[in-house]
Amino acid sequence: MSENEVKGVGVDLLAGGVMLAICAAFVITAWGYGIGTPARMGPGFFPFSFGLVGMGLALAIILRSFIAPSSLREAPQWRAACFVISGVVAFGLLIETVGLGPAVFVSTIISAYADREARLKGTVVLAIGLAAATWLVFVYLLGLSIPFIAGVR
Amino acid sequence: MELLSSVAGGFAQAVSLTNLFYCFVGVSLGTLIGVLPGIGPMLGIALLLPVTFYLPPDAAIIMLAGIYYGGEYGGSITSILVNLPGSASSAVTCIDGYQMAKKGRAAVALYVTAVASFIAGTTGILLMTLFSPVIAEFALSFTSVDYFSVMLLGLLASSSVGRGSPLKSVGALVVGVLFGIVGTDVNTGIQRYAMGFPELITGISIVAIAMGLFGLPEVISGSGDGEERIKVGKVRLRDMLPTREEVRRSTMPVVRGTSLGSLLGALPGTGVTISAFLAYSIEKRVSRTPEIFGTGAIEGVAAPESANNAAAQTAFIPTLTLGIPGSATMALILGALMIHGIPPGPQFMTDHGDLFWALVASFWIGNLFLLVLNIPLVGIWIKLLEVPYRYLFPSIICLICVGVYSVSLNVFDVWLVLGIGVLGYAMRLTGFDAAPFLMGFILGPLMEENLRRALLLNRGDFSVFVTHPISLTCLIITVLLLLWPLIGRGLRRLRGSRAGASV
Repeated sequence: MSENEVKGVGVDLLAGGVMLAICAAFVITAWGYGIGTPARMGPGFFPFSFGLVGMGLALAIILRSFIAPSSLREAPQWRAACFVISGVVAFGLLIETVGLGPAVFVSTIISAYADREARLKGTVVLAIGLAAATWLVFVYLLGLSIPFIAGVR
Repeated sequence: MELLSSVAGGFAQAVSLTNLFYCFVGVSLGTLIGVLPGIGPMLGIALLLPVTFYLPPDAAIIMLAGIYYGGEYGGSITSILVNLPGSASSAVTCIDGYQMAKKGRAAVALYVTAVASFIAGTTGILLMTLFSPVIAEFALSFTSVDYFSVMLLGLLASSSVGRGSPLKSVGALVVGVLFGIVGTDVNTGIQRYAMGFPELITGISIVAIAMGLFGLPEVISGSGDGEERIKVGKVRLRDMLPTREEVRRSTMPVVRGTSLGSLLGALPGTGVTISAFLAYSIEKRVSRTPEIFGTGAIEGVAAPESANNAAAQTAFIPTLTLGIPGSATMALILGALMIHGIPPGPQFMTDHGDLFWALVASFWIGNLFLLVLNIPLVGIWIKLLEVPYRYLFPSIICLICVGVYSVSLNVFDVWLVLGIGVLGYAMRLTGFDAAPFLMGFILGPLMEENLRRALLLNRGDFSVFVTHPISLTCLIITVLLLLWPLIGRGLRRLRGSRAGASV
C-alpha cells in the first residue's frame, strides 16, 4: 500500500499531461489542415474539435489530480516490459535481415525471460517449435513470401 | 416466408466444408481463450485478424465470431474448477461454481453451464434471426444526422460503464478517435498526421492497434506476476448428469438469465459481463433461499452463464444491423468486416444478405460444436489449463510479431505495434481503459463522415441534431449518461440528508 502511495505521487498529473500534449499536437496540426466552416468542413475540422474536447478532459484529469490522490493501477513490471520490448525489437531487426526462422527463434528466447521462471532448455524447444509453426502457417499455408532464412529459398 | 428461405440459404452457405472448418476452428480457439485466465476474446480475435485477410469474408467473420461466443463457454470452466475467472464475464460464476466443485459437484456445474449456455445462445440467435431484418429496415430511414448521434451515444454508453474513472474512459475514447483520423482524408485527399511516413497514408493499421493495446500489455503484466501452478482434478462424464431436483432448480434461472442477457446484449455498453453480474444479483433477490448463494447454489451458476451467452449473441444485432458495435470486441469484428470491403450499416443486410444469414446459421452450428466440446470433450480443456504460462506468453509475442508483419510485409508495422503496446501498457498502469480507445479508433472515421455529410446537407446548421427525433432521443440519453454520476451523487446526498433529518 505504502509503496503504491510513494510511487503514485502525481500519476494522474503525468498521465493528464501526456494526454494534453497528444491532444494539443492534434489540435495544432489540425489548424494547419484548414478548419473550414461547419457547412464545408475542412480536413482539420473534426480532429480540431475532438482535440479540443480531449484537451478539456486532460485538463480535468490534471485538476482532479490536485484534489484526489492518484496511484498506479498495478505495480509496474519493468523486467517483463524490458524483455518483451527487446523481444519485439529483435524480431523487427532480424526479420528482413536474417529471415523468419532466426527472428522468431531469437525474439521468443528473449521474450521468454520476461518470466522469472524461464528455463533455457524449455525455452529453446519452444523457440524451435514456434519457428517451425509460424513457417508452416504463414509461409506454407498462407503463402507469404518470407524466407525462412534470408537468402535461402 | 422470405425469412425461412433466407435462413435456409444461410445454412446452405454455412455448411460448406470451408465454413464448417473455420467455424470449428473459431469456437475451439474461443473455448481455449476462454479457458485461459487473463486472455480474453479481444486478444484472440486480434491475433487471428491477420490470418483472416487470406480467407473469403464469410469464413473470416464466421471464425472471428466463433472466437467471441466460444469464449463465453470456455470461461466458466476455469471459474468452476480453479476459482479464477477464465474471462471477465464468467467472474461471477466463480462464487457458486467453485463452491459446487469443492462439494464434489464440479461435473454437474460444468454440465448445467454448458446446457444453460446452449439454451441461452440459441435463444439469442433466434431473437437475432427475428429482429435483425426489422431493425435494419427501420435503420434504412436513418439519416447521417441520426447516425452521428447514435454513434455518439454508443461510444459514450460503452465507455461510461467501463472499468475505472469515466473521465479517463472518455479521454481514452477521444484519443482513440484522434488516432483513427490518421491517414488520407477521403474528401480532400489530404494526408493527415502521416508525419512523412508513407505507411501511415492508409491510416494506422487496425491490427497494430488491437494487438498493441490488448496483446503486449497483457503479456507484460501477466508474465511479471509469477505463476501459480494450476492443479485440476479429473471430471468424469458419468458424473455430469444433474439430479431431477437440480434440473428443476436451474430452469427458472436459465429463463430469467436468458431474457436479461438477450436484452442487455443488444444495448450499447452493457454487454456480457454486466449481464452476468446482474443476472446473479437478480437471482439472489428473487430466490426464496438467498442464503444458499455463495455456498454452491446451482442457480448462481445457471443464471449468469445463460445471461452472458445470450448477450454474446444479441450483441451482434446492433453491430450488424446498424453498424454500431456495443463493445470493443464487436467493434473489432466490425473492423474485420470493413477490411473485407463490407461497409457496416443497414445496407449490410440488403447488400450482403447472404453473408448475414450464413453468419447466423454458423452461430447455430457453432453452438452445437460448443455443446460437444464442453460436455463430452471437457477433459481436453481441463488438461490445457495446466499448460504453464511461461510457454504461452512468448508464443503470444511471437504471434503478434509475425502476424502484424504478415499484413503488409513491412517492418514499420512491427515498430508501430511496439509503440502502441508501450502506450497501451502506460494506459493500463495509469487506469485508462483500452476498450473505449479501440472503439473510438474504429468509429471515429465513420463519425467524421456522418458529421460532415449531416452539416453539408443542412448548410452547417447544428440545430438539425435536436430537430430530428431519433437524433434528439439519442442526445438526451447521452447527456443523461454523462450527468449520471452527478445525478446519482445528488440523489444519494438527498436521501442521506432525509435520513439524517428523520433521526
